[in-house]
Order: sequence, then C-alpha cells, then structure tokens
Amino acid sequence: MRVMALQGLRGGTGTTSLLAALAESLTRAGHNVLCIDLDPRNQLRLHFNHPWQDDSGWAVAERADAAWHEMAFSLGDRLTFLPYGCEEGIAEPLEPDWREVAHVWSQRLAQLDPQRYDWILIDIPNHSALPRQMRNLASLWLTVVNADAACHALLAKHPIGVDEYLLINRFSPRSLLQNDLLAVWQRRHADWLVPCSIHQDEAMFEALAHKRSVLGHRSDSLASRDVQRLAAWLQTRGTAS
Amino acid sequence: MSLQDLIAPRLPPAQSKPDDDIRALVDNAGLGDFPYRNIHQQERLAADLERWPLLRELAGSPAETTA
Repeated sequence: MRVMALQGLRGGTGTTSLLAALAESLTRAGHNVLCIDLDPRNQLRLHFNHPWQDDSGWAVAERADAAWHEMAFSLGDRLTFLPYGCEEGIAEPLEPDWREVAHVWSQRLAQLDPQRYDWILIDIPNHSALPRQMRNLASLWLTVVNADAACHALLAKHPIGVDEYLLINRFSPRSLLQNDLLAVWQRRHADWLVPCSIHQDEAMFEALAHKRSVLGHRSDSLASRDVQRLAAWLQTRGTAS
Repeated sequence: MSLQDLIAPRLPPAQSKPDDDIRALVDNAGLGDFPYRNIHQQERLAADLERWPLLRELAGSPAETTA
C-alpha cells in the first residue's frame, strides 16, 4: 500500500483534477485506489460523478458520531473515494484543527488493511499553516505547481521534504516564460522535479464540467496521456508500507 | 493623488445599457413595464447548460436558483 499526498504550492494549480485523473489511471492499470479528500472545499467528489447535493463525508461523520468509512463511495470495482463532506446549511466550511486531522488520519491509515488498497491518494488543501505532522501521512508527496512567476517566488522559500517531488501542471510549450521557468527549474530543482509534466489541455477543464476525470472524459487527450505517463513513473517510486 | 482619488471613482457610474435591440426599443418607447422576455437567450442558456452536466446540476440547486 502506497500513500501519496498531492498539494498545490498555491491555490488553483489544478491539483484536485490531477488527483482524480491519476486515480483513474492507476485503477486502469489494475490497482485498487482509495482517494481521500482532506480539503474542506469538498470538490474532489465532483470528478467522480457524485451528486452536488450529497453533503456526506468523513468530516460530517465525525460530528455525527458515525464511522468515517461509512461515507466512502465506490466507482467501479477498483476506485473508492471519501469526500470531505459539508454540513447542511453551511456555505463556508469551518477550518478544522489540522493537528487533530493529521493525528486522526495517521491512525486511520495505519489501521487499514494493507492488502485492500494498492494506492491511497490524499488531496491536501493549499494552506500555509498546515502542521509538519501532515507530512507523515504519506510516503510520497507531490507538490503541484504551474510554471509561473508566483510559483517561482514561492518555490524560493519552500522547504523540501523527504520523498517530495515537484510536478508541473498545465504546462504550455508555446509560452516563452513557461519554457524559461522550466529550464531554470530543471537546473535548480533537478533532484526533485518530476521528469514528466502535465500539459495545458482544455480537456482537463471540460472533464470537471462533465463530472469526470480527464481520463474518463477524453482518454486520448494530451493531458490524459501525460497523466498515464506520470502514473507509470510513480509506480517506480516510493516504498510499499 | 489623494486617497480620495484612489477610492472614489472620478466618473459617475455608467447607465445600464439594454442587452439587445428589442429591449432598447422598449426602453426608448417608454414601455419599461412591458413584459418582454428574450426567448432566444433563454433557449441558448438552456442549451449551454445541457452541454455540461455539472453546470446543469448546479443550475438546479437551491443556492443557484435563489441567487
């Protein structure tokens, strides 16, 4: 069982859409995958055709004294996803105690049957105040960036963790700035930069509007092929626990 | 430049303009209460929403319908 966390270096890098696509790619490769949404915005479920009005999720279960795994949903034989949830009538989700979240989820992951899932993918919200303990949840950590000046500035102060990798999402080869940043990052961050980037692709945006991952929407798209390449690369990384 | 210049607009707010010719005609004729509905626009909006399942679903949600 490999546990991998995905987190955007800043908001809006397309991390959740990427996680959904990666999950589908791994299931198509024959792996059993559990996706956990730790983001209070509760968006991951929408990539898996989950009804908008269904507010159930693990955070809601906690407050209702229900078991967290009762809130998990299956999509096909191999994919299971666990929404964050949303309390009825609350537009803005309450900020959780992240230390508590890290503590609770490390216990839950340790209790899971390691034979049940080959991969656990965790959607981590972009949040500057996340405690260091969150890093212990996953044996692989994927930090998702866009090749832009904002991410470049943030990278300059970003502390790199053990088993952390940097992935460029929405890369546009036609952009002079993006090509220059890629060249700089390939030199400066060579030891943790993932060798395959995800190209900018309209299919990725269309996929969410269709309530699917990009692989489910258009498996022949450029982004889908990139994600499959990334999934193959990831399978060679990390250690099984 | 004073702080007031930064926070206060120099120009008065623009008058709202009609979004189509029929609406403009109704306004110019002083028939502001005329119950005009742009059917083409409504049909196009419905077709646009039909194309994208998530947009269609959100359009039917209470939050969107009351907005």
